[in-house]
Amino acid sequence: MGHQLFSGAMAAEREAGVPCLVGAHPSGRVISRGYRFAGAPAALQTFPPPPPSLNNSRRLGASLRGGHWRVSVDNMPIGAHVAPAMKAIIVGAGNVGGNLARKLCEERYDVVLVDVALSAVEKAGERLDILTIPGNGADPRTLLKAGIEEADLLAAVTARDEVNILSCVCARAAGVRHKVARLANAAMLSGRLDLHLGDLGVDFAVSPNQECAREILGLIRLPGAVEIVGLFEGRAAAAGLRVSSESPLLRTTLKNFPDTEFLRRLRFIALRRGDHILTPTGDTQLMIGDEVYLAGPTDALPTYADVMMPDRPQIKKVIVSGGGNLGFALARQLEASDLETVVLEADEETAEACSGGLRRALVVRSDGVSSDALREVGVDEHTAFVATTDDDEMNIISCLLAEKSGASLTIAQVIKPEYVPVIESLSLLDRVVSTHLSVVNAVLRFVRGRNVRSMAQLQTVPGELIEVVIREDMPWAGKAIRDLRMPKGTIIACTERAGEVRVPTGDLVIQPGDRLAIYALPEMISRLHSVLKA
Amino acid sequence: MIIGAGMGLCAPLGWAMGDPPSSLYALLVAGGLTMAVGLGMRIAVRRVVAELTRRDGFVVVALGWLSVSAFGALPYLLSGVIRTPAAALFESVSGFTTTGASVLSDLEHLPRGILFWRSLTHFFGGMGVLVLCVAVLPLLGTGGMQIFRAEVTGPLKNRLTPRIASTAKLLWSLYVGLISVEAVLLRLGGLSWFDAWCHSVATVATGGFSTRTDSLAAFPSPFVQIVVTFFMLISGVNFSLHYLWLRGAWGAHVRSSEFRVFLSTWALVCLAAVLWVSFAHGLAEGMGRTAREVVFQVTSLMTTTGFVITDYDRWPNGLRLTLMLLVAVGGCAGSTSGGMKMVRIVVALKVVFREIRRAVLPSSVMQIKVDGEPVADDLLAGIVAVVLMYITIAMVAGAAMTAFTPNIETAISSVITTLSGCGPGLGAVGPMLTYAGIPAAGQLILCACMLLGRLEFFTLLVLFLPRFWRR
Repeated sequence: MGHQLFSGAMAAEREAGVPCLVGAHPSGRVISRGYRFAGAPAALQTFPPPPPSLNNSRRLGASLRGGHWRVSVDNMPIGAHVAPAMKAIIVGAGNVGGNLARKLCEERYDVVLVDVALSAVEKAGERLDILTIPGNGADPRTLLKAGIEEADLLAAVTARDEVNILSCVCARAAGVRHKVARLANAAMLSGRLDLHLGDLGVDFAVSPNQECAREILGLIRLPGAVEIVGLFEGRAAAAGLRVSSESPLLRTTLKNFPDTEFLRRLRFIALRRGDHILTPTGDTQLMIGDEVYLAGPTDALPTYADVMMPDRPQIKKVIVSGGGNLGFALARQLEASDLETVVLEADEETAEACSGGLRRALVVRSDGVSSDALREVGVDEHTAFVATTDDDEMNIISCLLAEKSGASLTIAQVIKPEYVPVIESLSLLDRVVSTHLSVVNAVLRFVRGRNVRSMAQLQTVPGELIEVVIREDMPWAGKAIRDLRMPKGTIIACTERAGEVRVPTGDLVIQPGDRLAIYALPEMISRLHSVLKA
Repeated sequence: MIIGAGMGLCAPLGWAMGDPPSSLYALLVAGGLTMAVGLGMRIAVRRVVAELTRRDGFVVVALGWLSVSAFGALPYLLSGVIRTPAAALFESVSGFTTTGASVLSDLEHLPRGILFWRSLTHFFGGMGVLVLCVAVLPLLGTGGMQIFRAEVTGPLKNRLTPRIASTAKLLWSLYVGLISVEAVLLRLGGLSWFDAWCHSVATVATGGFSTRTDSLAAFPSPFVQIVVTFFMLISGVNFSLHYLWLRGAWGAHVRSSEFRVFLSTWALVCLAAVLWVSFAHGLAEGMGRTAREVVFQVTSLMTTTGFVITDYDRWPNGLRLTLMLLVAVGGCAGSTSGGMKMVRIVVALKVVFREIRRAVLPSSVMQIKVDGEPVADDLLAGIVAVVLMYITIAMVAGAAMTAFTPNIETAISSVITTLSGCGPGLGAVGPMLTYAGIPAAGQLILCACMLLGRLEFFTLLVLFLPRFWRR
């Protein structure tokens, strides 16, 4: 088995803090990072250095280190991505392209959306302040019409890998600085045939399935969490936790909570109650079912979870319904951890292919909505059920069934964005994921990946975690936190200095080199950028 | 709420309107009043979220135009220049829709403030009052797109840049740039700065308000006539083409089939008209002068500017009719000119041709294309609908106008010329006459025609659709 190359957005972000391509073992274990990578182990030398013609890639903002493409993180002024002239071309106006267009538009990019389907681009153009061009995104003529010569970013996010790669090839020829491709097919990313993505002009590849599988894995590791986001290479984390009926916090306000040590080590950044988003204060009293977003050092994370949900389940077994692309990717990552893995797949061929690619996991031919099959494989309070088929309705139903059968954690892939609010307001499932949103998040992280980098867009509360590296010439350097003029709707979640993560108090004086994780409401992000700059 | 948002948008318009630097008490009062109302609205609807849907875009533009026209009439009334409200409204609408039809005569004796106000209404109306707001005010965001769609003319609303605000900015700066260049040239041609400004605005906005009773005939210099002819022609062409040309795409105009048709029609009609007029009236004034005047007059009508240099109403009947048809067709889409627009006529003719061929060969497939790009079916239907609407309204309103005019010729031509935003018509509303003789009811009908024509029907007509108002 060769080595796979897949986008490392989430893992790499946590581990290296830089968007980069990551070499990974088929097991899903990250064995190398693109960041400050000095000497590649022999095993990684499957990727040859690029042909001389690629040396102008430095101009394109990418350089090659140790056989890996990585995007240089140096010499880009802070907040540069909000400069008015930035222009992005998005190829593919589907779910991913549309969402990405909206996000980039909010960040003051000038967005041009390209798609073959006239109706798709028209629909998107109706809702967003963007230019839409109907046409094939892999056709140089279409791209020229979209103004590719002045574009700073090309994100090819159609459902077809070939189109995406061709778009990036064209974009490289046109001298576009950043080229991102959505590549579903992991095999295409492998280093066989001396072919690597850099040759094709792809600076950053996102595999929706790998990306989403990684997200699911995080949720399984800390069950009960609505969302977990790693900060500072994983040394800190922000987690959304649902307060259970057993939590000691229920009986008191935050101010009066007896365990002050616990409060000192974390920061409450947001609180979601039903459809309302609240900002927690000392007087806030938590209620059952509240989703509390906390940030703090990673080692304290289980402690938060213990306080919020003393009765949280311990997952030992994961049932994956659907052995398609996402299910398979997830199963492979699960195999690498010590969790027992069962894959349910109704289609014979898919099931066989799945079984062929996995080593320890049990593959059962059945669909997710068969209670017999569930009984056979055994569901108990240590079981998580993940529905990964392409059929939203099926995923939701099978999760409900699994919950009835006793599974303590249910996660469903739901592609249609319209369903998500319904599911959330009915509290049908523990968590909803979507490969599409995972791609959007990964691309956004890449795009922002500079001095100011967003680590994550939170999915159930409107807000983002943004990482800021303090430099000497920034106005915040040398100031105490209480003297900062923070825009409303932004909170410093935690800081890192010399590898030490802390939850800051107002006394903390910010020094150059410090890194801050800031929680910001979406509409405040550009404001935050200008405050940081000015 | 939607209405609130629409009125709220009038606030900035109020500012714009309260601004004309004039010594006139009337203008100040009118400006102050408009501003006060605008600010009041603004405060009243402060909490409205500026997330405009397509429908809101229509409402904002339609109501915006109606209220702007109403407030625009105030200076005329307050200063006593025009006595009846209907006539004042007519003058204001005529200004904003860049029609240039006037009820005023003896312009030389009017206060300069009023003349300037007339030219200012052209200035704002030419590229679109609300498009200006989109360009200048950052508060709109996505809403700007809906407004742009509802206000800019032509079937294909091609954006030049991804952000609608920057497209609007570009169009406006191009517009202002053209006006400035022409003003400087006219100043060189011997006009005072005031006359140069007013006439440049009236040219580039394809309006037609002059500062002289004799219109452009008051400036007999050939240089002035040629400059104005040239700028009228330019203003009748899609501004996006000019933008592309400035960006270095030298072939932009030639590649546009609409421009080619426009220019060849213009050349052909000019040639025919020069010969025709020469044969009919002889060459008593010399070939050069006749040619210059005829070409000027044809250009003025074809681009729906409405400047008058010679009494074309005395030309042969065939030519008079041809001129009125040219007025109905108008200039290119995306220009400041009115009418049905060249591209619509071209497409509509292609549809007709397709149907003829299908009658013989029912299974033949013929994709209708403009500049090599196929036109989508719904767009096609929209184009044909505008042409049909134009003809229907011209006939219905024309029939109604017969009640207020001495003859059919006057009735029909007054409707066509206001629908197209041209100005002078034939007969009693001919080039040497004004609309002062038309009764109030007739003036109001023509006001409606001007607004309908400027907003290309749908923007205004949707307001009358009962379903439109239902939630």
